[in-house]
Amino acid sequence: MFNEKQTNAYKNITAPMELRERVLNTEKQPTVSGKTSSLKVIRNITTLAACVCLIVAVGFGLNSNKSFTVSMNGTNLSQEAMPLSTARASYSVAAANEKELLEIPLEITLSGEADVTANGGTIQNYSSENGKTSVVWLIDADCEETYTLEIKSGKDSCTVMLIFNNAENLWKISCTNK
Amino acid sequence: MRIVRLRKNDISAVYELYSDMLYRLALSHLQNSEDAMDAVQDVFLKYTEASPEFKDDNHKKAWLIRTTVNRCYDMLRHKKIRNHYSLDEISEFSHYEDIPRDGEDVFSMLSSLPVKLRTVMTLHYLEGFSVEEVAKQLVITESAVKMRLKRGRELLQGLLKEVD
Repeated sequence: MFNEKQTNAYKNITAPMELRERVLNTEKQPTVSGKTSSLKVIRNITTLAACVCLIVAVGFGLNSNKSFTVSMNGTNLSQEAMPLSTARASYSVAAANEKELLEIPLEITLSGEADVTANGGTIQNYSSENGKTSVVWLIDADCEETYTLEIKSGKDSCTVMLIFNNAENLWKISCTNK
Repeated sequence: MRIVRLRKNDISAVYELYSDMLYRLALSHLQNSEDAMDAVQDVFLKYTEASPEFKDDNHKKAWLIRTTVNRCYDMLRHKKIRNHYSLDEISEFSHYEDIPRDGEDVFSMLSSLPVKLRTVMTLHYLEGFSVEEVAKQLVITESAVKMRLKRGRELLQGLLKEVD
């Protein structure tokens, strides 16, 4: 299909040094830096949607196990899944290939040190004040219907689960202590 | 509370192994070195932050390729970059920096193809992956790969005849 000269010319193309610096510098920073402006706009909209849903979610039960407390804008997450968003319909374009971008602000209350791991998305913008640590969990929800974020401290751990409920057509979030 | 560790992979080693291939792949889709760098940077960012677990190196390579291709598709959609061009329009291209003339010709030819055909043509004919490997990388059937390759060849031959 392509002649040898063309194939060799293609194969000789190497990534610019600038890219190397950008990628390896990104590794040192916990924040996302290379996203396009359009993604940022969508993220802002998603954040707004998430905040609206959080206000609606106030009033759900508190977590019975007090070793960890995970909350979103002051609302404690519990084993009972609560809706993260009711705006799936507004992401109808997402169903036709675009990613659904979820931005979940979490506040973790715990004394001591913890190990936070997510099976998808990114954890960023974490800050700590008066025993409370704020993180933002960003998810490009493009294929999976379940995402988990695990917080471990010594023998204690808790898992924040984000599950897409097909019946209700919305994302639900819960937190289970172990 | 203090977060002591966010799980990460060793990005440096992975970068050295795969960055050239991923950059070429992104360049063949986006036709612009700046956009290609953005795409590959996003892929490595996702790799670092999500820390996916892989069965072996082939699985890792396939993930990186698939993520790069998906990122390129996203960028093409979001930026409303056109998927394909006529060969007449291609002569106006001047986006390639530091790329030899023969390499430019390859990208010009590829840019005349719809993006999904461009993906399989690049992976198979330029990167040298087998049909089976391309199918695994893109999570499509082997017959779909073969069909896209056939259609890609036909389109390119047709376009080249038009120019002659």
